[in-house]
Amino acid sequence: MRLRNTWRTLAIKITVAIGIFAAANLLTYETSGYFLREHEYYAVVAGFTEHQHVRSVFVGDSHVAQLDNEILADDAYNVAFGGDGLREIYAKLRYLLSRPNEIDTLFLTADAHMFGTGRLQSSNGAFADMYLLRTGSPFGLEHGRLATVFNLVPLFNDDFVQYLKLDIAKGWKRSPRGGDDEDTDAGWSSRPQEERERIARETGIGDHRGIGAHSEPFQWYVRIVDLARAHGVHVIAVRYPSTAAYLESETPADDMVIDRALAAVGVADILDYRHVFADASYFKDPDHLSKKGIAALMQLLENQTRRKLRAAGSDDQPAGTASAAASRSSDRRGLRD
Amino acid sequence: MLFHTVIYAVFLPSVWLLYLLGGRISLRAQNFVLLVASYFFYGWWDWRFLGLIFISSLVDYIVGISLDATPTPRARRFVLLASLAVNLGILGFFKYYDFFISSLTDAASAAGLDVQAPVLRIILPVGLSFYTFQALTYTVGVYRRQVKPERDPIAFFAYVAFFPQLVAGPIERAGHMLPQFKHTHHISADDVTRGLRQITWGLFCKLVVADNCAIVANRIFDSHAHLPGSVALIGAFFFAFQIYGDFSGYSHIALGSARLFGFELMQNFATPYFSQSIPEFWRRWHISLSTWFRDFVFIPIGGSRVGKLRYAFNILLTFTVSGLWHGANWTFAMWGFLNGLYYLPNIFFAKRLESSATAQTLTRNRFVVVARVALTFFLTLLAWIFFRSKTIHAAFLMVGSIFSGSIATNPAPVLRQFGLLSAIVTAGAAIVALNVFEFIQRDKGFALQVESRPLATRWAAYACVVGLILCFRYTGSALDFIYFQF
Repeated sequence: MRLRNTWRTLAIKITVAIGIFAAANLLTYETSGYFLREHEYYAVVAGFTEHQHVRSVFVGDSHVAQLDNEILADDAYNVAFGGDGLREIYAKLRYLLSRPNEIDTLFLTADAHMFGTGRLQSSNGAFADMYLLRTGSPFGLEHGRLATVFNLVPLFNDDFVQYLKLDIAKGWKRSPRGGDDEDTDAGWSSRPQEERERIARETGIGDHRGIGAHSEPFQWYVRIVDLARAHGVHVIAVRYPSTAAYLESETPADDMVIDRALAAVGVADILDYRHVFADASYFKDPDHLSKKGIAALMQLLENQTRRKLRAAGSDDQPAGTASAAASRSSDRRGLRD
Repeated sequence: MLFHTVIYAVFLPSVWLLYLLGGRISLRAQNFVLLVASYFFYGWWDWRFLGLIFISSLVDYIVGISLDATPTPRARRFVLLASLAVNLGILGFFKYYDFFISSLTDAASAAGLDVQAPVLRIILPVGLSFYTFQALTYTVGVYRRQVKPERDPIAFFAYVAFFPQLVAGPIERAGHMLPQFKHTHHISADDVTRGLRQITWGLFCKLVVADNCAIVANRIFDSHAHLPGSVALIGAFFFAFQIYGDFSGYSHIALGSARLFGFELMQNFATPYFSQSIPEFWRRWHISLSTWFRDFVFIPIGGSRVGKLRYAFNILLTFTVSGLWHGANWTFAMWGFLNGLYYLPNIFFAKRLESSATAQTLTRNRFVVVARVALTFFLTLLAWIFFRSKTIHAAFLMVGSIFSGSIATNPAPVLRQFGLLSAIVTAGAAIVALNVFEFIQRDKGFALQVESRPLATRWAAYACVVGLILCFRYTGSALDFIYFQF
């Protein structure tokens, strides 16, 4: 049996197919965890516009995102998001600076893992595309504008497909970072020390792989700093606290590569908090702080920058014993007069 | 411009609309649209190499007319040789110069001679081997008086550069292809439907099968460690499906794209991995090239109508040359030679091995059929190791490992170390899907040729294939089609 198409039947079929495809896209967009994450991502950046007089902006990945906007002062805002790489940071900064703003200081992450292999491709890459497109960025759209626009269609979005595959794979195996109780402050510190160190070490090895092996992160760093400077924004590089076992895999050679890169781009203000907390109660997992740790870190940041960064009412939380914070360039004096 | 990129998704419908408009004006306008589009398509990679296509086309255009105007056999032969010299000269220079020079210096130094010859590190223009061979079918055809010389330059230049099959075939015969440029195409809805179906199937083969298999195959073949036989076998297995998905996928997109313009290209693959013997495999794999070598190399050097020893020599020579056609490396020559060796039992033990069964007629003893298919697949898989390896030494190490005791080693620890376990699951599922579709549709030109199926089956098949493309396609940086480098 040979069915014969006419242009009319073909047009009907194509219309039906497009309709089904559109419905599938809508369904995916409304129900997929990936796009729920996208909503959150955009909401964080959009929140900036609700704060009229922001002077200090925090950018980075989950190490920075833990400084929740609720505990920040009105003139400080955090657009960091878990999984962001330096390309995503650049994209967001471009967008923020393209809008009316009073930003004068950028707290830019200088964590070693941001320069490793793991952040060459961010899971938030497609989210950041929107900001690069909107601001007409000359960098970051390596597949071209057309391909980027195409990628905005949910079912054409490569990152979504990657997310979907991982989601399916998760059905078969447990997350390498352990169970859910790890995400609570008590969960982490209640684990046996040996187990905590093992998990932290494994996580650190994975995160610190390939530091210095790729030029892209360093190029993005230069672009971020240049962009900030072009808008009169002062850049402060921050290294966030992690557990000692997590940091073991960060070698002196890695540090040297990053230090050289920061020096080359002229970033002199570096706040290095990597080793300031030794007690497990300051952490909720190998490289993220507990509430106690966050409060302590905020106090350190305020002391060192001589800038009010915490919201009223949030600065009376215990700072713990974090007195060993050291800055490589500025010690304990104000960084910017 | 790659077939599976967004730019092609814009390019193709744009050219198609222009082509439809051209059809309202004249045949020449249609051909002109195709010519400009094809040059644009090729120039997207590197516009500098457009000159080579132009020269090749110009020479063959003039040679065709000259052959027609030249009455004496001797003069005709001279004109043909001039065409061969130009076409094969360009091919030889760009593709084989560095290879032969470095092979020569290696051989000389092995013999204790100090020979210095310049290696030029020449860039190989994409698709050079394909369009050169296609152009040759024209001049040889005119010489043999099988093809009439084409006097319309636009039609002829469009024939040589026709974009759907310009860079990786199918290598069309002038006798089949040129006449299609001689009449206005009135494209039907059936042409479009079939073309879109075949493009969809090609995208599945490329994005879901080939590119997912490439993750596994590349990681294993690019590993410099000595691998256990089980891991080497897994690498070869996934490469077998990578190259099949990649090249058949390309061919399907090429055929589907051509069909949108009303052109019919020859089928290039016919479920080759269901073959029950090596000769059958070569009747089903890269059909346009296999038949090209049969018609333009094997038969002219004597073919099969000679003594058995000479027949065997002809087979080995043809396969080895076809191996070298794929690339300027001894690994390709070895791959071709090995396939020639596989062929020999059919020459010397033809009666015993005579096989009338094909994958389309899975009758009688199914166990025997499955065993024959498995053996044929295994032999081709071993040959693919030479095709994919960087050096002959590396290939022999891998084959040796497969035939060693390490074949019984549990591959999981190595695969886990390579981070390949989840990639294997995805690629394995893609291979299963491919084979299920192809087995069900094994008597069709391609697996999504479902027009004779009930409506519900058709739409279920579309949904399944499109769903797999959308949800399980490879998502890293775009991988080139393997055959583009040839």
